[in-house]
Parts: sequence; C-alpha cells; structure tokens
Amino acid sequence: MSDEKHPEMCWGGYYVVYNVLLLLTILTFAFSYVHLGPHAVNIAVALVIAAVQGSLGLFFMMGMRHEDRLSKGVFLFCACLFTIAVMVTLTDFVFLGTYSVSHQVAQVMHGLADAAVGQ
Amino acid sequence: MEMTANATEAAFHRKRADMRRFGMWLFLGSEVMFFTGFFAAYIVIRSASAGSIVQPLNKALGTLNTVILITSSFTMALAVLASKKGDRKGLVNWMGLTWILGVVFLCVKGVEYAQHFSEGIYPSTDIFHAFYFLFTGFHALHVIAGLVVMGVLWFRARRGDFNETYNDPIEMMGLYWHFVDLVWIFLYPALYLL
Repeated sequence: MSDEKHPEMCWGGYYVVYNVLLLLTILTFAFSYVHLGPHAVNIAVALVIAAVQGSLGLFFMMGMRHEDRLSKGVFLFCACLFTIAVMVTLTDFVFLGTYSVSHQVAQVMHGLADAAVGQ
Repeated sequence: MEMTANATEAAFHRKRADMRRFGMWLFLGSEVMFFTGFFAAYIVIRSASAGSIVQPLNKALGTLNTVILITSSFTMALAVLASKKGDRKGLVNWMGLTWILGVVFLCVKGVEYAQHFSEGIYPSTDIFHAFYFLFTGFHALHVIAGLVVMGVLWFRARRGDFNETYNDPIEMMGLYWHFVDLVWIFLYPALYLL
C-alpha cells in the first residue's frame, strides 16, 4: 500500500515496542495489588494502560500509521465505537458506589417500613 | 514495450495488495465490533449487580499468557519483516516460533480450564464465569483459526512461495495475529485484575 512511501520499521524498533508492551503488562499487574482509592480509579488506570498498549500494537506492530486514509478510517471508526461503548457503560460502573448506596438505603427504608407495619 | 508491460503488471499487483489490505482492515473492524458487544454487556452486568460478581482467577497464568502472546506478536512482526526482505529462512523460523508460542498459549489456557473444571466451575456456575468462558473461549477460537492458517502459510513459506514482491498472505496473517494479541491485552485486565 504505502510501503514504497514509508520506510519499514526495523528489528530494533519492534524490539523497543515489545519491551514497552512487556513493561506495561508488569505495570498493570503491579497496579492490581495497589489500592489507588475507589475501585473505579484502579479500573481507569488499568484501562488507560491497556489503551496505550493497544495503540502501540496498532500503530507500530500492525503498521496502522502507514495505511491509507480509508483503511485507517474504517478501523479507527470501529475502535471509536468500542471506546464510546466502553466509556458509556463504564460511566455506570464509576458511579457504582452511588448505585450501591442507593440500593442499601432502599433496603434500609424497606426494613424500617416493615418494622413500622409490624408495630 | 516489455518494460511497460512489467510496470502495468506491477501496478496491478500493487492495487490488488491494496484491496486485500483494505479488506483485512474491514474484517478486523468487524471483529472489534464483535468484541465490543461482549465488553459492553460485561461492564453493564458488573455495574448492575449490587455486589461484586468478580471471582478470583489465576493471575499468574493470565499474566504468563499475556507475556506469551505479546512475545508471539513480536516474533510475528519479525516474520513479516523477514518476508519483506525475502529472507526465507528467517520467515520460516520466526513464523514457526510464533506458531509454537500460540500453541503454548492454548496449553496454558487448557491448564486453566482444567483447574476450573476440577473445582466444579462451569459457564453455568455464575454470571462472571459465564462471561469468562465466553470471552476466553471466543478468543481461543480466534487463536486456533490463526494457528491453522499460520500452519498452512508456514508450509508454503518453506516451499518458497513468498518473496520480496509477493508476501501479502504473510502480512495479512501478521495483522490478524497482532489483532488477536490486542484483544487479549484488553481481556487480561478486565477478567484477571479488576
């Protein structure tokens, strides 16, 4: 496609990307044992690291940066839909605390109501 | 006259290679959408549950598999590089190593599955394990499909079917294999760590 226009990444380039990917994997693993506050923060950090790893794989290992606009557009459109889907559903998850609290409050209210009816 | 014919033929092959690559990216885009549905459903189920649905998995095996897949992605990239340089020996060796790493990945996954089954954990056990088996099962199917095609390409590479000018199938294989690796990079924290 554009192999003629862009120089191919060399052995050393792939080696650097490979090492960075391994390093980020170790980092993700290490972060799973560190409590950064609310659980949502850990999730956000892990997803950001995964996104960085994904971008490295996509642009360097798969050579996306050398593709033509149409191929880039098609794949990145799907990747954007994936990001939107994850972000929208994660919004719920981030507010899981709120959900849990409201759920617990509702249970307490039910309990109080039952107690009042019992009396 | 002959030079013009050669130039036309080269342009034709280039155009065909362009179309193949575009087709491959289109296919990978559809695969992203396939996994998007699973991810969204998984997050919704997790957030909709009052308590945590997550059950502990074997982090060590999950991390080992991640390292194996990332390494296989690296060796696949070197196989593609060798094919572009017309290095037949390099192509055969690197692709062979990638294939072996893919098989090792499946073996580790098999060990994990065997552990679950011996503990009486099945997809029907709970919602988390239903997702776990669904995610990893579909991913493993992708790995198996990749290994079958890679095996065929390996034999063709040994036979000398690929050179500097004709290596599209190797490139397509590389794209697919890197994609399988990318999917796992997102599955790993979602299932094993969070």
